[in-house]
Amino acid sequence: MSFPAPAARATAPSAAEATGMPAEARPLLEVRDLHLHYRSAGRTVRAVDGVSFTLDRRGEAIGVVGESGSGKTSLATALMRLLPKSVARFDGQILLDGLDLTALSDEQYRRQVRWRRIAMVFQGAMNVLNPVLKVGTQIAEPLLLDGEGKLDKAAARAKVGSLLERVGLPRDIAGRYPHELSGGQKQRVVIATALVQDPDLLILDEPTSALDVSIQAQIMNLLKDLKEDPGISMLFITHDIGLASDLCDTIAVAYAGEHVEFGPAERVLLEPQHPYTRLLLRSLPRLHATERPRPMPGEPPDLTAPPSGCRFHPRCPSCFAPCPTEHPSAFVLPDGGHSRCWLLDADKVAASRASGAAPGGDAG
Amino acid sequence: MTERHGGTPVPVGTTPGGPSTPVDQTATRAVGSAPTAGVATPENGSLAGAASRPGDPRSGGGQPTDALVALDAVHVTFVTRKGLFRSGRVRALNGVTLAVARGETLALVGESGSGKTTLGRVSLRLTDPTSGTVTFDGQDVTRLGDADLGWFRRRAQIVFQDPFSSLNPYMRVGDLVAEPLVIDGVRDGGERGERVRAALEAVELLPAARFSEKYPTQMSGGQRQRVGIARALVRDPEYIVADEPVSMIDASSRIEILDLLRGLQEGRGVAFLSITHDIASARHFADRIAVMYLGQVVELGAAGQVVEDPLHPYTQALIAAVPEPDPSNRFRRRAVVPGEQTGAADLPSGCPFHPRCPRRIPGVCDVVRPLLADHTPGHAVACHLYPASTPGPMPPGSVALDLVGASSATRRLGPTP
Ligand SMILES: Nc1ncnc2c1ncn2[C@@H]1O[C@H](COP(=O)(O)OP(=O)(O)OP(=O)(O)O)[C@@H](O)[C@H]1O
Ligand code: SF4
Ligand code: SF4
Ligand SMILES: [Mg+2]
Repeated sequence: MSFPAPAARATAPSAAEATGMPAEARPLLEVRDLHLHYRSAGRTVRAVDGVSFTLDRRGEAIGVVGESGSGKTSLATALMRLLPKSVARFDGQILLDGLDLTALSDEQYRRQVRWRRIAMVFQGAMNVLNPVLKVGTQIAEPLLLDGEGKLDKAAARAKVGSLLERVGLPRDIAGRYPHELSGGQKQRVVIATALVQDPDLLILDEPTSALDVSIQAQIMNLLKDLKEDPGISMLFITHDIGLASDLCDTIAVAYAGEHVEFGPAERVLLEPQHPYTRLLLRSLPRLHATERPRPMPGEPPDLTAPPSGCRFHPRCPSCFAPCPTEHPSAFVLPDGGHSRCWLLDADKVAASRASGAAPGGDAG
Repeated sequence: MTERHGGTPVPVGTTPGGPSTPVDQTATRAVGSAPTAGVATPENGSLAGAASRPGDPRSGGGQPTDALVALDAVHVTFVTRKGLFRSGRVRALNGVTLAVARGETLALVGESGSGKTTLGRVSLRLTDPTSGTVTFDGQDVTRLGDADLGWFRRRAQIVFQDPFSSLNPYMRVGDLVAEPLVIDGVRDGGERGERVRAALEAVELLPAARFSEKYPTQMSGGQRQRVGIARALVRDPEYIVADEPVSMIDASSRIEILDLLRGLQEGRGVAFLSITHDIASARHFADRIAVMYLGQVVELGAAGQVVEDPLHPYTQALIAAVPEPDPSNRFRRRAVVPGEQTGAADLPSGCPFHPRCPRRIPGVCDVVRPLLADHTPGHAVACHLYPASTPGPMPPGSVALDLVGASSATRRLGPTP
């Protein structure tokens, strides 16, 4: 079962309109009401549950931020269509540059989309580089396979060399084995591997969380460079909203399988509209503040039995009348983003004021 | 340094007398091989000799006077296998002098491989120092055997913050928390139950009776971490080492744990050595911060001071790398130090940071090892940009000797990890 379509869901042109649009005005990626549920021990895990967002232009980076288990990796899995056997539900719409990916067969997806147009750096990928293959061989692998875009050995070697340079490594590192590289170098190799077929969209799942901060900063600089030239669009997954601000133009805040807030980085970080985003920002240790960060109250939700109404309501200091029972719509904000919170419904707020029960607490 | 042979143990920094007897000669002795009279010797990185001279800017090194746990000139060298016949030496700690005061939280920050965990383990005698001393509550525990360490093992604890691997999944929470008491021989079931309940309440697993019945798999990651802390607390320790893994993924659950530990420190007066890679959280949850690089403490001071006025170029780089939530971040590249920390197997000569340091002074930084010394009272740094760190007068044109590795034969090697 799914929740009724949110009243204010249209944050961007509908799919049909998009397809007919001129290429320049067309968003690069549109995700509409995407669901990915798993079956686990007889229960349904709602890992991605009605997610919609738009990546407007090339060279834009979207950050997907949220606590562990909020469904960030599952969203990436859905976009790559690398689905585990336990999938119970997979639907919604994914449009890449106007092309309806959900209409493609698995075989078409494998040949046309995965790695060629959407590539991914997996969570922990640097630890799973093949230890017995030289890194150049690993990067070149897809270039030497039969099919469209197959290169001869010399051309593949040249391509690998220029890719290595692009990710800030010397060309001759192609001849080394993964164990001869440092952590930062390995992560650069993983990024080169994802870029080898010139994808339009690069998904990065916690690409720096196993690295020390100073190496993390080096990798973030690399991602900034790649975003600018050649203008790769990115979907950057992280639990650290501060890190997302280092790269992302747009930020989506994931909570219990939903995106509860979405919008330009400026607005989400400086004027967050959702109480969860506010608490998330308040729980962050700031270097130059004297106020101690405040931990998020309560426990993370169980995705097999998410709370009724607003999924955040058991932890929300602003919870009011409709919240425990009615599921909030994604209210569209003037900047085109949205927030899934009843506080944005003037009627509900007024009604609960009138009944004497004003929205409680201040999460700001 | 405390006297090892007889006499009453005295905390670091208060022993009168000259330089300590070197057990390990491998630390840098800068500028020639003989210490100049009247100048603090950098031997072993010990401050003991200098500390005795009143008014000497090198005294103290930011060390507290009411030390509960004190490490003095601690070296830890691990022997590793490199192929079939060769063995390598990894200097995990290279002359660390550091003390944790009663009831304070001291944060150790630095990259993985900088020796933070080893330092924490040495302070608990879970790893034996190759040389140097470890003192707890005034008693030298460096050479105590397991049989004599019982009292110490109860008063000093470690908390592993990996919520997934550190708890036996087949034991109920109540039994997990009671286990240390069983080991300690607390036979009275009533007393055990009472202490378990108190420990669970202290970590806010409420109601304690309900959580006692649960299995770790029925709990969230944050709750499991609390169980780990309760296991340490049930012994009523005075000192806890809290080691946070780099891979600990969730920022919000990290803050939750740090907040809890801070409450325990303030409420119960437990002293913490808090090991973290995140200097921003250290600023808020620790009293003092010690920054480590390649087995050495390179900066030490009050948490706010270290963050607002970092002295060491490495600390400055660490701070510049912290991603604060700021939407204008994305329009600028971060100033980063190039390269990565080399392995502790081949320590650079002179300053361990010199291969990456944007401010290195050629001919000095690559030759002479800087000493950790007070720059301002209570704020110590080991860097030649600050005069107190440079050992002795630098003879013009002198070729200082770096003796690292030159006399390793004299060392008693520690256990292999
Ligand atoms: N293959 C699977 N089968 C069943 N459940 C799964 C599967 N993969 C993930 N889940 C569950 O789906 C939910 C969302 O998981 P997901 O990995 O997408 O979260 P995440 O936000 O990436 O978390 P983290 O920050 O820890 O990486 C979790 O409850 C998880 O246990
Ligand atoms: S105010 Fe209500 S709808 Fe908004 S986040 Fe809180 S509980 Fe959810
Ligand atoms: S001693 Fe020299 S190399 Fe080391 S941190 Fe200071 S300036 Fe840099
Ligand atoms: Mg994930």
